[in-house]
Amino acid sequence: MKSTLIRFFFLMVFVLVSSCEMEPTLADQLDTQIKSDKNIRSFLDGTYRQMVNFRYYGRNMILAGELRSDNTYSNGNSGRMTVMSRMQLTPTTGDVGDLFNQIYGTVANPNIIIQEYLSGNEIEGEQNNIEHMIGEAYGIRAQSHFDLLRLFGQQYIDEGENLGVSYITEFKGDDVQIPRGTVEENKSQIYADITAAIDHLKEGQSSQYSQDKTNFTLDAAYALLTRVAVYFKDYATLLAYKDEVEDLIARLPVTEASELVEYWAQSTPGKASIFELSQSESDNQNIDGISYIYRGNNYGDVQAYDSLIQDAEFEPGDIRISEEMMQIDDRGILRNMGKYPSEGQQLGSDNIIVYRIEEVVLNYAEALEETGQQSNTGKSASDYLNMITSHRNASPYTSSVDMDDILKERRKELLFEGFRFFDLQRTGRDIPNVDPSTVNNHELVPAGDYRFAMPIPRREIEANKQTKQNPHY
Amino acid sequence: MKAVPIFIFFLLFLVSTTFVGAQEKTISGVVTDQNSVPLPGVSIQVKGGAEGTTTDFNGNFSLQAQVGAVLNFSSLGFKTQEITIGEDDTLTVMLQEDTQALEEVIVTAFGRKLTRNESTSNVVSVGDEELQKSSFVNPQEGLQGKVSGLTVGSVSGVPGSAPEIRIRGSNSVTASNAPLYVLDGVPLNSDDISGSSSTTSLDPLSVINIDDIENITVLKDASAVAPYGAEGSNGVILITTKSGKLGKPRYTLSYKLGFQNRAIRGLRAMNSEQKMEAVEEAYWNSFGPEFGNGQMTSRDELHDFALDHSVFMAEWERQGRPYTDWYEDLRNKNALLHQANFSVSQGDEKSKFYASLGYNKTEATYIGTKFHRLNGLVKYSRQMSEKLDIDISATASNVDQDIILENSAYFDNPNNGEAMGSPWVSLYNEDGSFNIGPSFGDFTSMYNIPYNVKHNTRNNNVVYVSTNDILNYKLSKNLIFRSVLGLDYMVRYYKTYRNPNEGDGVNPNGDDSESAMRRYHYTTQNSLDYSFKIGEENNFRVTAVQEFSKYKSNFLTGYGSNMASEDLTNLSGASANYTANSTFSDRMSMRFVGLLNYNFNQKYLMDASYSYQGDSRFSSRWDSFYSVGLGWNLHKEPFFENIDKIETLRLKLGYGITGNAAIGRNQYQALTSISRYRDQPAATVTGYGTDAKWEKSRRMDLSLDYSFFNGRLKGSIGGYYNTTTDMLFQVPLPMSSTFLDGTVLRNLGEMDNKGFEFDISADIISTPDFNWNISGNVSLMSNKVTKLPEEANIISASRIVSQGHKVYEWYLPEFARINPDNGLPEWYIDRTVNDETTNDYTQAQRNYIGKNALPTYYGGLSMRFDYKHLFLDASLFFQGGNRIFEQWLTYRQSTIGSNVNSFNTSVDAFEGAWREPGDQATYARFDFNNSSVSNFVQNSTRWLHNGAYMRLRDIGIGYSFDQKMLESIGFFSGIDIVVRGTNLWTWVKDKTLKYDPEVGNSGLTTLATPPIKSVTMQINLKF
Repeated sequence: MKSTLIRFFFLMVFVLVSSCEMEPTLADQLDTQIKSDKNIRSFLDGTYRQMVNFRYYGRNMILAGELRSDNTYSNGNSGRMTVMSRMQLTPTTGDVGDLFNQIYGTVANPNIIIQEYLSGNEIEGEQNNIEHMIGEAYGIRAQSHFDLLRLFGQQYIDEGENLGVSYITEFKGDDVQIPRGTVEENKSQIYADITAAIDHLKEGQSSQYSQDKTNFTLDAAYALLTRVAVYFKDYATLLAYKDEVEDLIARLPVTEASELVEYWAQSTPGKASIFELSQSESDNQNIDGISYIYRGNNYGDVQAYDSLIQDAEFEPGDIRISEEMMQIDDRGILRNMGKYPSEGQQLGSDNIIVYRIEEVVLNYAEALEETGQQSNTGKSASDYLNMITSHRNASPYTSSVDMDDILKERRKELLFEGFRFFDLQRTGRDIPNVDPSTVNNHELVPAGDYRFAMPIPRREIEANKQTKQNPHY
Repeated sequence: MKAVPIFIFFLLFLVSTTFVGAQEKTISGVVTDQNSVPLPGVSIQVKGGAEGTTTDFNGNFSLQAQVGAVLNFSSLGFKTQEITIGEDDTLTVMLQEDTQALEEVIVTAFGRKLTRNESTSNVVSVGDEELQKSSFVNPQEGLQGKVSGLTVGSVSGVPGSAPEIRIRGSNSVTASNAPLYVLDGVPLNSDDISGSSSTTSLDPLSVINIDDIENITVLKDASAVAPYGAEGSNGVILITTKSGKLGKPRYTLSYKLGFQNRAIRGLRAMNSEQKMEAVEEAYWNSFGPEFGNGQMTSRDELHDFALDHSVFMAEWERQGRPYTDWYEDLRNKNALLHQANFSVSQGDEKSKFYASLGYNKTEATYIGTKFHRLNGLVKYSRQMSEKLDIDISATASNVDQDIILENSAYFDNPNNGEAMGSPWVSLYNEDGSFNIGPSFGDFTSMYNIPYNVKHNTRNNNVVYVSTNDILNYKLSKNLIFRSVLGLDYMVRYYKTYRNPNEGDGVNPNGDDSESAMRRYHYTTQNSLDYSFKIGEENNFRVTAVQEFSKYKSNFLTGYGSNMASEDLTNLSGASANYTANSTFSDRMSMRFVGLLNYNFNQKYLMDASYSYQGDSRFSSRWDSFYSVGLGWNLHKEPFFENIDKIETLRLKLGYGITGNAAIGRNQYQALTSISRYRDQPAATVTGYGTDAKWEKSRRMDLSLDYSFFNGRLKGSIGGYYNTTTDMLFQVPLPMSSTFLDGTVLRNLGEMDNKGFEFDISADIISTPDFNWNISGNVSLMSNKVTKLPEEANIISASRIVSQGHKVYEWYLPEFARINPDNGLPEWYIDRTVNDETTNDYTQAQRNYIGKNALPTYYGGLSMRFDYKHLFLDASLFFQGGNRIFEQWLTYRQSTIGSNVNSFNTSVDAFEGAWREPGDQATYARFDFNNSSVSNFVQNSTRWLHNGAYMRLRDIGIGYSFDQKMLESIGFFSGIDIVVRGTNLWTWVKDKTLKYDPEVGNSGLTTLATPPIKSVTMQINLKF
C-alpha cells in the first residue's frame, strides 16, 4: 500500500511539473514580420488574392462601372446588385462598404513591404527580385488608391469640397484616423507611387517576375499611368511617357478578330494582356465571381439593356457582337457570353484582366486626339482607333475623330469590363435612363450629380472621426 | 450473487458486535421509505444505550434490546423516527423523507459538498426528475423557467443544436456570455462543434444522456463562482452524473415516444394567386397612370402587361397556374421522438456501481434533419481501504446529426425556402418525379430543396469517449487528498455531399467536402481538504486546489468535385479540384485556488476564495481573482430558535472578482494567414494583435433564504450587482486602417448588470393522499453600459453599444406610417427634435430605442398535484421587457416588385399593403422601382416587436402503479406512465410578431428551424 502511495505521489508531482507549459502552439499562421524575399512574395501574392476577391476586381469593381451606366442593369434574379443598378446607394449599402473595405485592405501588405524596405533593415534574397517586388508594392498602392478615388472622390461632382480619399502609406501607424486628402493631393500621391513603381520595376527588370503577367510589371505601371492620366484629362503627363507607351503598343499586338473569343477563353494570359489577376478551376470566387452574375444558373442578375447593340452602334459582323461574345438566351435576355466565359471550365475560373493593350491604345488615341498631337511615327488618333476596328471586323474611322468617337469605340471594346461609368463620369456626360420599363433601372443622372461619387460607408464615418461624408448622403 | 457473501459477512458482523444480555430479546425487521423500498444503511440506536446497528442492503436489521427500550432510526435525508419496543419481535419501519434535510447538502466549486447552513453561496439545483421532463436532447434546455436568473435562448429547433444559456443576462460584449460547464468536476469545452458555421450547430453537451444526470447545479453569485476565477463571470453550471445507490441491484427501463411540430406556425408566405395579384399591383404602381410612367392607362391592360414583362408569370400561366406550398412540402409533420434508456444501480458499504445505456432518435420539424445518439456510462466506486477510495467513470457516446443549411438566405435552407420559394414553380412533375433542371431553375433561383434533401448529405457524426477518475486519500482524520483526472476525446466527422443535378452541386458536377475535427482535452486537479475546529464552536475547512487543463484541436478537411457517378459520394469518387487543409490549435489554463469555509457554531458563516489563474489566450498570462462571503443563520439565534414556525432564515452577503477569458486562441499576436494565389503561398493579415487582458467582473450579492412551517413554504430572495470592468471590446477600426477584419481587441469601458431574484415553493396541501405544490421564480434584470469611449461604440445594422445605454440597445430610424395618399412609407426625420416625417429613408436619423434584446423580467411558475398514485404537473415560462427585431426583411416582407416576382413575400404584406388612397395600410404599396418602397424593408422601428410572451413549457400527467399491486404481480418494483406536452401553448403580446418569440440572445429573428412543441408518452419500468 505504502509503495503504491509513494508512486502515486511521484506521479502527481510529475503531472504538476509537466503541466506548467503555458505557451500555445502557433502552427497555422505567420507573424507579420518581413524577413526575406520569400516573405515579400507571399505578402504580394496575398494582395493579388485580395484584389481578385469579388468585392473588388473579382466582381464589384467591374459592376460599379457597368451597372451605373447605359450598358447593363440587374434583374434581381438572385436579389444581387439591385441597389447599385437603381443607383440608390446609401452609406449602409453592403456593396459600397464591401468595395471600400476590400480596396483599402489591398493596401495593407504593400505598406508592410514598403515600410520594411524604407526602414533599411536587411532583407534576405536576390536584389533584382526584391527591387521588382518593391515596385509591385508601389504599383498596387497607386492602383488601389486610384480606384478608391474614382469611386468615392468628389472630382466629378458639382457640390463638395473637391475631396479625394484618405491616402494610406502605413500599416498600424500611430494614428489610424487619416483625413481625406484633396483630389489634387491624391493625384500627386498616385503619380508619386507610380513613378516609384516604375523606378523599382526597372531595377528589377532582370527578375523572373517581370515576365509574369499575373503580377504587376513595368508594363502594368505604364498602363496604369495612361489610365490615371486620361481619367484626369492630364494628357501632358501621358505624353511625357510617349516613348514607353509606343514601345508597349509595338510589343503587344491588338488581338486579331479571329482570336478574340479564344483570347477571353484561354486560362493563361494572352499576348494582348498586360496585367491579369489569376484564378483557376480550383481557386476562384465561385458563385460570387463575375461569371455567375453575368451567366450563372441561379444568379445571372446582370443583363444588358435590350437595345445595347443599337445604342452602342455596333455594326453587323463586328466580332464583338458575335454569338460567342453576346447572345440572347432562351428567356430573351441579352447577355455577355464572351468575357469571363469559363470556357470548358468550371464557371468562375477565368483570370480577371485588369489591363490589356487595347485599353492603352484607346488611352493613347484619346491623348493624341485631345491634344491634337501625333505619335513619334507620325500617327494620329484615328490611326490608333483603327488599330482596334481593323481587328474587330468594323469600319475604320476617318481621319478626324473626336471625343465622341473615342467614347464610342471604348464602349464597344471595353464593354462589360467596368469602364463605362467612369468614361461618362470623367467626360462630364449624363447617365441616361435607357429603359424605364426594366426593373431596377436608374433615372437619368445628369453630369455633376452627387451620384457620381459613392457614399463613404457608415462604418468609416463612425470609426474615422477625421473623414467626411460626400454631399447628399 | 455477489451480495450473498456480503450478506453473510454482515450477519457475522452483527452477531460479533452484539453481546447479549439475559433480559434482552432479539428484535429484527425491515426499514423502508414511503414507497416501501428497503433502505440500507439506516442507523439504529438504542436510546440512552451504546447498542446500535445499521440496516443491510435489503433494509433488514436485527439487534438485541429490552422491552420498553426506545429505538432511534436515523438516516440522512429522512426524518428520524423513534419506536418503543413492545411485544412484537419484528418491526416494519417506514421512514418519512425529510425534504428539507435532503436539500441541505449542496455541491459547490470543485465538488465540495457543504450544507446550506455552512455555505454563503447562492446555488440552485435541479434534480433528475425535473430534468427528465424535458423532451430535448441537450440537458440545458430543461432549465428554462426552473432557475431564477437563467434563460435559455433557442437558436435552432433542430435537435442537438446549441441553445444559448445566459446566467444573469449579458456580462460581456465581445467575449463569450456562455457559462462554464463542469461535468463531474471537470471543465468542458462547450463551443459549437458542427462542421460548418453555415449549418445547424451541434452542442457538445448533446453527447450526454439526460437520464444519466443526477442533478444540475447552477452557481450564480460571487462566492460560488469566484473559485473558477477567470472563467466564472458568466456563471457556472455543474453537472453531476448518477452514481450507484446502496442496495440490491435496481434496474430501470424507460421508453419515451413523442411527436413534434413547430410551436408557432410563423410568418406565412403568399399563395400563387396572391402572388399574381401582388405582382400585378406592383406593375400597376410602377407603370400605371398614378405613380408610374403611364405605360398602362387602365387596369384592363394589367394582366397582359404583367404576362409580357414577367417571364415567371407567363410560364406559370402557361402551365395552368400550379401552386406549391413550400411550407407543406418542406415540413416534417409530427416529427418522431423516440428514446429508450436502461440503467442498473447497485451498492454496498464498499462499492457502488452504476451503468446505463441510452438510445435517442429525434427528428426535426423540417424534412431530412434528425438526431441520433447511442451512449453508455459506467461508474464504479470502491473503498480500497479505510483511507483510500477511488471513483472511476467511463462514458462513450455516438451522435449522428443530419443537418441543414441554416441562419442565412441559402437557396437550400428550408426555412428560407418556405419564405422565398416561389409558389408558381412546381417541385414535382405531373408523374410525381422531381422537377429539376431548366424547367425549374429557369423560373426561380431557389433550389428544389426536397430533391436536395433526398440526394445530398450534410451530416455531423461525433464519437465521444471520456473518463473521469477520482482518488480520495485520507491522510489523517480531517485531511483529505483528492486527485481528479479527466480525459475526454471527441472526433467530429462532417460531410457535405452535393449532387450534380440540382443546386450548388451542378456547377462542380457533384462535389464532396469532408472534415474531421479531433478535440482532446485533459484536466488534472489535485487538492487538499482540511477540516478542523478551534474550540468547540469555530469550524474551519480549508481547501487548496491546483488545476491544469489543456485543450487541443486538430482539424483536417478535404474537398473534391466532378464526381464519377451519383452512387459515389466520397472523395474517392471525385476527379477534380482536390483541396486539403489542416490546422491545429491549443489552449492551456491553470489555476491555484485557496478556499476557506468557516462557521461559528453554524450561526455565523464565512467563505473566502483566492485563485491565481493563467490562460494561454492572453499575452499577459496570469491574474488573480478572489471572493468573500458572509452569512448569518438567524434561525440559530435564540430570538428565532423558539419560534417553531421558522426553520430557516439565512442572510448572505457576497463580494468577489471574477474574469472572462473566452476569446479566440492566438488572438494576442499580429498574424497573417496563408491562402494561395496562382498556386503560390499568399499571406493575408488576419490578426491585428492585442495586449488585452482579462475582462473582470466585480460582483456583489445579498440574499435571504427562508423556510417556514416545517419547510412547507420556502425559498430565497436576493439581489445582485455585477460590474464588468476592463471590458473586452472589438474596437472598430476605420476601413481605411487597411486592416480587413476591421477591429482590434482592447480592454475598455464598464457595464452594470443589476437584478433581483425571488424563489418560492409552497406545499399548499400536504396529506398522505393529496399534495399540491406551487413553486415559482421571478427575475428582474437591468443592464447599462456605464463607461465607454465614443470611438469604441459598436454600431451594427440595428443595434449599438454606447455609454449610458443598454448593451446592444436597439438603434434605429423611427418608422412613422404608410402615407394613406400614396402608400409610401414615412420615417421620422429625428423624433428627438420634432415629429416631421420623410419618405426619403436616408434622411431618417437613427435613435436610441431604450430597449435591448434582454428581458427585464422573466420567470417560471410550476404546479404539481399528487393524488394517491396520480400526478399532474405544469410549468410556465414568461418573459418581457425586451424587443425582438425582424431580420431578412428583404426576403420575407418586401413589397418591391422584383422580389415578389422572383421570390415571394408574406401574407401579412399581401393583406397589409396599401392599395388605394385612404388606406390605413401597414405595408408599403407594391412597386418595382420606387426607392421609398424598396427602403420600407430597411431597418427601422417598423420591424421592432415587443418580446413579451408566456409559454406552457411543459405539462404532464402520470400514474405510478400501486406498490402492493405490483408485489402481487411480482418482478416489477415500480411502473410509471407519464404523458407530457412541451410548449403546447404560447401567448405572444405583440400580435404583429409572427415569429416564435423564443429567439437567441441577439434578439434577432433568424432563418433557422423554429422551436418545437411536442407530445410524448413515457413508461418507466423498475425491477
